[in-house]
Amino acid sequence: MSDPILVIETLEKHFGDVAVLRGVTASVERGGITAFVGPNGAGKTTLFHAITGDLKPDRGTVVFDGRTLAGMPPWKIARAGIGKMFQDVRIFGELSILENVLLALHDHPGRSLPASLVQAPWRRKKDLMERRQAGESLALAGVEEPWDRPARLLSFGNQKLLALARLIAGDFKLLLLDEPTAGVAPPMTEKMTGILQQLVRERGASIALIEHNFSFVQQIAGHAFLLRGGEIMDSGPVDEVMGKAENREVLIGL
Amino acid sequence: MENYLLHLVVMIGIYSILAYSLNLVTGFGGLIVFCHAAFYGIGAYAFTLASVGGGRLSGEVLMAGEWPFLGALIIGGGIAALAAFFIGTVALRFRGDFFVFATLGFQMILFAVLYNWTELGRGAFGISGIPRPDVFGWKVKALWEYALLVGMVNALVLPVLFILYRSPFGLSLKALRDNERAAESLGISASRQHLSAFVAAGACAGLAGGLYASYVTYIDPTSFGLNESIFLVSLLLLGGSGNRIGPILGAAVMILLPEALRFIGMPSAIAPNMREIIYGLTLIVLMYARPQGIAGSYAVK
Repeated sequence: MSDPILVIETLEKHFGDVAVLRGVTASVERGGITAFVGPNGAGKTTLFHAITGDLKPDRGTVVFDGRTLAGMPPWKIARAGIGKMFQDVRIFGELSILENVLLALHDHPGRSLPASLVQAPWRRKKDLMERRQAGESLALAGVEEPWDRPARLLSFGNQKLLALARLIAGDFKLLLLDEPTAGVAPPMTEKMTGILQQLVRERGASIALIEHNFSFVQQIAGHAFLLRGGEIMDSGPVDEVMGKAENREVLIGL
Repeated sequence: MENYLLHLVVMIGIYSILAYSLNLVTGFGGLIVFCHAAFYGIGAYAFTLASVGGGRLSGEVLMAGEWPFLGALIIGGGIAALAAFFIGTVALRFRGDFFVFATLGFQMILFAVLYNWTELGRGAFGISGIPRPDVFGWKVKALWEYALLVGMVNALVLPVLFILYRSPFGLSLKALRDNERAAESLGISASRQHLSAFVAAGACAGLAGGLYASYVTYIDPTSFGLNESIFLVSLLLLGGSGNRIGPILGAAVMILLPEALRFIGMPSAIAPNMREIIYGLTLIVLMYARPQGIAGSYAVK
């Protein structure tokens, strides 16, 4: 893999005495889709949390697009261009569906208190534009109208699509998706595959995802890392990693 | 009777500024704050010390200026904002209940300072003889003039707050209130946004403090104690927070309720106690029956 967008080196994380990550070294291909697979408890979600700053790693470095992320708070890492879909989705349930997406669209300087006051006279026109843009993201992700409902009314699968719409609107350089297809109906999974491939093709986005749906992984990812017990067991082109008999044994216990 | 009604209008006007500013932090930011009265008091004292100079008090307080009304009002708001900045910087390092306790602690410290630092503001004696407003030659004296002045300050402050409520800033506060980690994953900084809201609310409370001081012309620390902060939180919870209707409803109800008690002929000896009981009962009933308040769009957790 030449010129990866994200480089993780010897990342370690302990919860008390339990080592969850034991020196993970991996990378995410620029303009590609990289999958992290492995049994439950392998440390995949912890790895993503350590990248986004939600957890502080004990050791190791994360370099994103030439910038060292270690020690940065989550909001700074997000501003650097890493977007994330949480395993438990984390939409803003009390806000409307549209507002959920608007939050990803707003530029960071513009939502400071002084800027919000100064820009108020031009706000109306910008509001309309942003609403249209948010609507486009929602339509692309396939979230059903009306969009002025509180987001908590959406089913779990639709909340995932809303989270996806939020990431589409946010224009992130790298997307970390923690089990994007879990709880999503098969036709929607297919649609999601199309959307993710489109983001990579048209916007040059890079994607890293955690997934247990192996046919989805094989269809969409180019590169795969197999994690087990907090260590990288194998890595390489996805068909190769998923094809090996010993790896399948780890993954599905056959 | 007419004067009495105008007095109520003035008080509701002052509390409307306090309620709408607290609404930014509590209703939108989701932070319960027990030190809003401290900023109200800091504003009142800063306004007073900036304007009582030159008279008989000059020697009795640590410092006193002779600023005109508007200048002193801005000083009051500014110093309250500054205080909010420092308190916010410290208190916002904590989350949840610990934040609430930090604001409570600050409220108690401020009261103790005002009460005991007699060189600053004469402690429990209070400061009297605060000059009445003089706005570019308009000498505000009559009650209706006060009502007009308070109305004008409301007309300046509330639109600013309303703009903030519906701006990208306001939306980011609502996002933080809903799910802080999700908001941060979209690049929203909880500490910066909350601190900004805190400072803006502190500044508004400071302005309200200046207005209050110039209206009653006498202040002492008891008007700015923990009771007052609790009163303000109750007022907002009763009216409802997170929108533009709740705060004014809460202010009106909480100020008119005790007056209503007076009219049903309750003996003045038990009226104040009865008032406290009614406030308490109202809040308990509210928490069960309508946690978002009378007209709120957000139930404070």
